[in-house]
Amino acid sequence: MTLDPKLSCRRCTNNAAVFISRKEPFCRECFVRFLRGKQRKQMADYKVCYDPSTSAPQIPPKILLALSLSESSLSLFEMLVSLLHEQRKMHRGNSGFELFVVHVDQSNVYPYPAGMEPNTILENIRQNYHDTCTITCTPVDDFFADARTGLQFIHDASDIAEYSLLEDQALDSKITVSDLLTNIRDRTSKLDILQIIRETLIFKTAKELECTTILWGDTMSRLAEKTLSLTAKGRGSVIPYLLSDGSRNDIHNIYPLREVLRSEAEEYINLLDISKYVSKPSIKTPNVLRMMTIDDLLGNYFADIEKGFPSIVSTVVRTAAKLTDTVARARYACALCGLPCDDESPERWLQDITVNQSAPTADSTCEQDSIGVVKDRQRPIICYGCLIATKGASFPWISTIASSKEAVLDEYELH
Amino acid sequence: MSGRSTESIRPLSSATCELCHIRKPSLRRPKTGQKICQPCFFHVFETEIHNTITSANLFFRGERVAIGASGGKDSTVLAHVLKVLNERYDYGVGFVLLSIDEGIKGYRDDSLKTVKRNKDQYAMPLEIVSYKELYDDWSMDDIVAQIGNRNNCTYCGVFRRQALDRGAQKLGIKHVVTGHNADDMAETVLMNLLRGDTARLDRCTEIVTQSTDSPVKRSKPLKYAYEKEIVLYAHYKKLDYFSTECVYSPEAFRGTARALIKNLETVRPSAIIDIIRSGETFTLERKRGTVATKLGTCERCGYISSNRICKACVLLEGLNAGRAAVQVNGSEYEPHEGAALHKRLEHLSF
Repeated sequence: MTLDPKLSCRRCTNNAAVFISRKEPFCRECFVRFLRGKQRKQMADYKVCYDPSTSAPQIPPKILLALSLSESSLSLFEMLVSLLHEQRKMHRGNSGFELFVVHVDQSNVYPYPAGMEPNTILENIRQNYHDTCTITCTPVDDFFADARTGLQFIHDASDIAEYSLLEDQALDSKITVSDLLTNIRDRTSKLDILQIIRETLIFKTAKELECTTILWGDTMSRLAEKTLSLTAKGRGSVIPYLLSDGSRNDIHNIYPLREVLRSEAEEYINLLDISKYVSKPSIKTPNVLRMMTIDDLLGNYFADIEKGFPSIVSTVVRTAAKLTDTVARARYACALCGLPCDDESPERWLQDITVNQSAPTADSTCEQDSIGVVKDRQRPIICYGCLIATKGASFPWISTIASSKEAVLDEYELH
Repeated sequence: MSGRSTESIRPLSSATCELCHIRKPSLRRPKTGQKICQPCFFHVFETEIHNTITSANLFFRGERVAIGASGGKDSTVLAHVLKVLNERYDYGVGFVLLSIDEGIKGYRDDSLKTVKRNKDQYAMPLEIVSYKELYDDWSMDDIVAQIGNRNNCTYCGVFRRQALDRGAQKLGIKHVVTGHNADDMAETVLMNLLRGDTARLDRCTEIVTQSTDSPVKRSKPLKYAYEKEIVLYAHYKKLDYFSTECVYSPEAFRGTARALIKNLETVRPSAIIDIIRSGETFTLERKRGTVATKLGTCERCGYISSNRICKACVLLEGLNAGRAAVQVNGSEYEPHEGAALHKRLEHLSF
């Protein structure tokens, strides 16, 4: 963006403006301070603390940054590094937190453009920032390393009550996330499941490193998209649980960029010359509507509507923040995503409004059995969102407990 | 570990209906993508509405219920399905058609003719309440002629709500069912999120709305029925309905939410019910300690209101003041379809 060279920064009134954000012209220094201020406001608790009796500095808490190597998580990374430097300078080498960084490497699932491979980029970051943080890289296939997190299930589209758990002992270490994803039908569900896997691994890393807080790099723009995306995927009940700051799995979660727009984060890394660390898989957004994901669609929607209704992003985020967290004390956890759910059989709700029975015929041999009977047997609790995301998925390495009616009819019925 | 292959679970092509495996499929079901035959489609469509009605205990035996009938596809299908289900499952409910005549030339006058035919087709009594008779001789055309094309949905919304209540009261009925479908519900959820309307967000998916400021209970038996399936049902059942949109098109913002819903449905057909599912879980904490609003009746018209004067009367006051000003100015007052015509001209393309 080329700005009028005569336009000066509204804050310091001395320097020439380099960027206009929220209708306000900023110079480089004021803009950087403005964004850092927004991040620091959300992390006011991470100041250097001293023991009141001995006046010795307290042991700083360990915090984990989930670094996806996108523009927003990189800008958060830079803000944290600058905060650490400042704290060390002001407090004789002491800091308010100890920074750990984790990146979930999904290069086995998606190709990366040459030179943008996460491993190469992370190595560069490590060399430049080794004195401020510890960087870990977790391959996405580690998801299957621990049998207990690998609980998978299957149910097929014709009879949503039919699915079975993958037994722990049946787990084959050769199973990869790629295998798992190829068995899921649509792109939206693939991304949905991949997101669950990434988050599971981030929490696992946090526990291993004994971090008490996880920082997520989502900007206000991304949080607005996620709010609508979770709603559209039938995961509305977990919006307050997932998108507000608070405790999840005994770890505190913070979104320090919740008041920063995506365009601002992008400008931030450009101004500070760290855009060279951006690493994104080369996935092309398809032009055909049918092939898009729900997130693609919502990204486009917000990009379009922001022009006509600029306040919409903050409205959505503020509205989501007002929702009551009803699942915080839920009795169950979904066997797949691990998120709390209060409904032990969402399939019952679905069966009522998506009936899968044929019209009664005059021929009594074709009569259907009673409507909506859910077979009573021990089975895992799957939340509604996962029920939809894995609909029609079938994993060849897992056998179903019962044969599906469709499959039996298809194989044996003579037409 | 051996397992069945993907192919054996999901047949690639099916020559027979995926539900009965007997008849030839004649349509792809919008909600699920299943290829099914017409009888199975009718069966699942009707059964789902029956399930919605029974799980919410919507009706009781001997109840008299008014169907808000506009002559459009939704309310026509609603009237038809309710008649079928009432007979099939013996609900023991007496249904009445209740129509509102907003006074929109080229739209409501034609659709009311359809409702009048429906009255005979479904053997249900029909009651028509008009804006003109309720609101100081104001029709929607007159209102648009005066206030222009902006905000007229606000007037129509407030007036229709009260008109439906008054119509029902006139018939001694306490329950009105409307033809809101699943697409409408999903659109409302997204709209309320996008507008930050926390007063409505958590309640907009409720099947029954019974607010303190209305003497009549409202419900939406088609809340899980897809608009596309309603169109297919009306088509295959050869129902007599009127298919023109209101000439005064809705606000632009709602249009973007509508388009978004359609796109989401294309990407994932279940998105519409998934959004409703999400909407049903939304909860907002209400401010406690606020004094419950005192309900009284409107000083002017006697309708239930939390204020001294009800909203419809406030709007009417503004309209009447405007009308007087126009007459004082001496200009010819023409309550014709000028605005409607203007609106239609806007949509013409060559």
